Amino acid sequence: MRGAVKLKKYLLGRVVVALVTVFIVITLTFVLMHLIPGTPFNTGNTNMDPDALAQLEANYGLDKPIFEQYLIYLNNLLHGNFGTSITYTNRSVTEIILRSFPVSLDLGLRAMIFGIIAGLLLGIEAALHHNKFIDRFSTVVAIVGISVPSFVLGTLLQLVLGLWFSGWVKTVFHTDFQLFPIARWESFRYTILPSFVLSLGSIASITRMMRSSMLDVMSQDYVKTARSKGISERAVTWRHEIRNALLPVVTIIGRMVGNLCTGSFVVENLFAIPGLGKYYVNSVTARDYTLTMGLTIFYAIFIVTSTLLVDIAYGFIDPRISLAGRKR
Amino acid sequence: MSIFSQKTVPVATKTEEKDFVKDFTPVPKDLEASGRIHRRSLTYWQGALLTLRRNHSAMIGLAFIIIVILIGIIGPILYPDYMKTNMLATLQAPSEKHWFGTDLLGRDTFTRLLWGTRTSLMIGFVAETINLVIGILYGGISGFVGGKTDVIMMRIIDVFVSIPQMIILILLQTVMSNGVPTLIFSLCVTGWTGLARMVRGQVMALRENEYVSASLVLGAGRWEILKRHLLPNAVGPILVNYTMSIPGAIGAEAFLSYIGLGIPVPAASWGNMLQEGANQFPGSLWLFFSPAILFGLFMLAFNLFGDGLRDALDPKMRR
Amino acid sequence: MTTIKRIVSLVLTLSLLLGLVAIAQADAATKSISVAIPSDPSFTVDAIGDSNGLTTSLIREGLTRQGQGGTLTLGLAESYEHNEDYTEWTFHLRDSAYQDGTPVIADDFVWAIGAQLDGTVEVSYPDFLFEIKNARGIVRGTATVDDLGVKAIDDKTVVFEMEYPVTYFPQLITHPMHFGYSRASAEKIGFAEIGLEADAFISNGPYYLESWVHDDKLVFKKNPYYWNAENVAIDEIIVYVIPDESTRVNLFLNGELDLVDFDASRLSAITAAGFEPLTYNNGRTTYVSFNLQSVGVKNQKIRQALSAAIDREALVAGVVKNGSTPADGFVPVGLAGDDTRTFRDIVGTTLNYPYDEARAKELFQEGLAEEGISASDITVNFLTSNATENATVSAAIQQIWQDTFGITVNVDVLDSASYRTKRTNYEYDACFLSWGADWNDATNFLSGYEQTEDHNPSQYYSEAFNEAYLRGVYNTDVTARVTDLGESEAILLEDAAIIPLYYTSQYYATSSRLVGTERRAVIPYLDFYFADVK
Repeated sequence: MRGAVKLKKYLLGRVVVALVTVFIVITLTFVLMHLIPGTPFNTGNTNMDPDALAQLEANYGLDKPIFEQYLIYLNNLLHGNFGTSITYTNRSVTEIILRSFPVSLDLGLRAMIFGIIAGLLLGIEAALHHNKFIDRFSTVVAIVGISVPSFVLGTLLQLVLGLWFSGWVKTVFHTDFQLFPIARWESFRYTILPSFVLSLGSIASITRMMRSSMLDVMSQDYVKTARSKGISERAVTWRHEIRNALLPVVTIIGRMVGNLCTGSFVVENLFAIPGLGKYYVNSVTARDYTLTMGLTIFYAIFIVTSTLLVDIAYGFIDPRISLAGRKR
Repeated sequence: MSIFSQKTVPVATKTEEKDFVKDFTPVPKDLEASGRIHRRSLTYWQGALLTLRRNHSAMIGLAFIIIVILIGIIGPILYPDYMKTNMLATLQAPSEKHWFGTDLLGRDTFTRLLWGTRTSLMIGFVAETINLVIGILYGGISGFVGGKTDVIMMRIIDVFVSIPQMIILILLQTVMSNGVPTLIFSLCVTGWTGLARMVRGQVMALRENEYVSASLVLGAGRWEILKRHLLPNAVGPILVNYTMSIPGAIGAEAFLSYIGLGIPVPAASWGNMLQEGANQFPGSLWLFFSPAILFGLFMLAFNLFGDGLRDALDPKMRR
Repeated sequence: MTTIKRIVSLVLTLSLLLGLVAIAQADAATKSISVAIPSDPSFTVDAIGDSNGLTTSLIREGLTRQGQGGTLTLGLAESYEHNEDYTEWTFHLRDSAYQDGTPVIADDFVWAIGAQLDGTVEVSYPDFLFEIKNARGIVRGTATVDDLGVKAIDDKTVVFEMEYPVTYFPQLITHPMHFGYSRASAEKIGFAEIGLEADAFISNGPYYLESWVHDDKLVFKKNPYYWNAENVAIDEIIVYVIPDESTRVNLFLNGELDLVDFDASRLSAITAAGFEPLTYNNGRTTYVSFNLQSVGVKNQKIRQALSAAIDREALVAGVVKNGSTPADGFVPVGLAGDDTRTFRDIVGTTLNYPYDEARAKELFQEGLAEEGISASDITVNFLTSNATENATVSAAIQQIWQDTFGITVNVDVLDSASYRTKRTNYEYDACFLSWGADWNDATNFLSGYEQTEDHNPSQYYSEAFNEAYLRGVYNTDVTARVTDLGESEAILLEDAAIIPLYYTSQYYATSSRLVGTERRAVIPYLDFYFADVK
């Protein structure tokens, strides 16, 4: 019972800290955004008329001193108003997030599941067969996954599987059915290539981390003890080695969830997926203050929450770490 | 094979032991001989070095890394003219004159690859080494001191992670000139956080170990424990992280080139050469494959060496 | 239970499949084409939709419209006339209607233009409308929308009063900012909501927007109430939002798109697949603009030398490689001149310092002597943006100038917003620029160099230029005004305030079944109004 109370108190504390974190992020991003030169206007090739420009800036309150703009922004935030995008005329930031984020989340989760399954399998197999073929293979996969940028891999797969393979299918089987469509986000088939491309980086990291962690655990005394007690090889592998080796991997998986669901700009761009990634990149380059701020806050909340969840999960899995009460 | 990796070492059964006794006569005890030390006593680092030297794939990897570094240092001196454009000879296929062909502006891809190697190695090594130092110090302190300090330090990381790197980069590019130092700086602003978190996790897990408690009981100071016990034990995962982060930094540069914020023309880097090559896909394949193959091999070498180093530094993995 | 479920689901699946087949067969009768645009379009009252202006041209029409082969035809107006000094234009509307059957009336134009000026609807460039009487005053707040120089005489007649003579007004009003929009519909939808969704817009163009999945797909269907509906051949146009060019090209090669724009780098892929690469002139001039206050380039002879050093033929053939042609003036080829000829046809070449390396070096030495400096004293900070073509061509120019004169050129590659800020603040010595036509007239290019009391965007001041330019603007003889404007262009280039590099072109390819696609130098750059499928 005392544990539950402590956990509640701990969680409450963490939530308060998370709010403070988000506030600092808001402030810093606001300052940084207004420090970089450039305005959201005059995007074409016309040198704008000064009257027209002044009117536009007044529309968005950009003619006011920065501190006043900041206070107005905070006040709006408190009323749940993220504001209206400057470059996407009349579109509210909330609308853009609500419309696009589910797609990014969908893509990110698919990639995550793919990455975790493939990464853990490869990592475990590599460690169990240290220095054998599968180990070498996993190393190569990891290297390819990390060193080939996703825009290169994506372009390559679009060309080979999307274009050439479909062309071959068309000539041989006389059907327009495409197993790997080149782009867009419709049925399951459409999700295969982008999810794979997005997951490759995480496959690589998880494989390497799991392999290293497994090797570490396999040389630990308790594993030897377990084995010498006559516990079956399978049980040792599953109950002792893999379970314990998972601990450090959980941390990086947690971090990846945030990155995968938010940082999929290249994949979304290449496969024409209507996600949030491009809004993030475009809003910064277009100096769309309200959109950048809104997305940053949204991402910050997302990342802070996922970190919190990972920390809690970590406390549950690893008996050596206690969440609430420290031993010393 | 390490004798500790129990799986492949056959364990003698009792009946086999009896057979040993029957077939052989025991050697008489020789106290002097058994007291003699046959093997040279090695320090930790000597042992590590020895193990590393015996690991062939790691040594091949190391050799290749050194070659690539030399290419990065010497290559640009031998072939200085990486910006020389020739509008009459653009996008030419590899030939005797241009080993790796020419690019959009008729510049020699081979020469640009040499320069690109220098740029990318600089970005990768400098940025990630700075991140390594900051990450170890930050994560080590956070994990070891624990309590409120840890909470505050971790929340500071949350702030760093949440600020869009692009904003920082664009800001730096307009304030400083946009080039290698700016890029390194912006990669360092947020790059250390991953490592710091990992080191903290390692340290927190390790500090609950008996030998740490034992040292504490024996009166060792906190710094002593951090230095002597925690960091050496965390060195394996840290190294893995470091080897993966160097291509990560080079990849980040490639991504930034993709969105137009990487190393700007006319400078060359693996990242912007890859981007340029991918842009020409599927035409002019030499533009893509020359940086891609070098980068891939370099990464392979780095990983082989990293694995070997990890095995060598971990006492439990020693032969 | 499970067996029944299985049977039911099997039957459902089969019927669904059959249904799909049926739909597919039904579709075969309608003429449908698919194209892709790089980003989600915008259908606000002032918007051109996408970068090609295609989507807006489908659902909106002005009083006039761009026709085939660079001609101008009538749109919603069946005729128009002007007064003697071109300061008043009267348009007579045809019988046409919005997609819901409401007739198009003169008040649509009065409302839409007024609403863009008084802030009822938000616009990006109200200055596009400043040739209309009191338009600037309304933005400034010194006039009200009642003073606006657009009046509905009756439901079928609308009169535009100008601030100054505008001979090219019928050309100007092909830009969507001069289009009309139904006041009643706007009030019903809500001013800030217009064009945000498929059902928040009513079309008076040849098509209407049937469905819109943001960032993904738009379906346009033929508007049955459109006056010329019987001559619109294609029934359905599907527009996908595909941001990446290589993806668009791959989709095209796979037969999923009927038309694609592409860069020189994709040329081999297109030709290898058996498509014929086409180019069209997109009404842009790419040039170098100088900061006339900066030390290195303030000497006219040095600027002329920098111009003469550039081999434009080699530049377009070797580096740009997209069918662009070497520039021989500032106003691009394809821009209208008088009623029959283009501006360049009338004016001819005005570039007095084309490629001539010997002359370049000679001019450079003269310039150095005039300034009393040596080549090593000159450092040119060359501002450019991070778009591939801009960065690449800038690097080529950097190399040319350094090799020819032994000066130092630093290329400053920035993201587009930072680039524009530095450009507007004159934080450069030389600046890479590409300028496109917003309306089909030379003033579009030359007006930027006229200095007025509150408008001096280029730090260029020349009495002679101002005199020739204003003479052209106020000249109501359509041919003579072109000659005047050509004279001002020649002065600008003799002063070498800018050095033109090339007139840009764009590669594109179409599927074999699509015929009659119009590509042109002004908005809409892509037009399916006259197209058909075989």
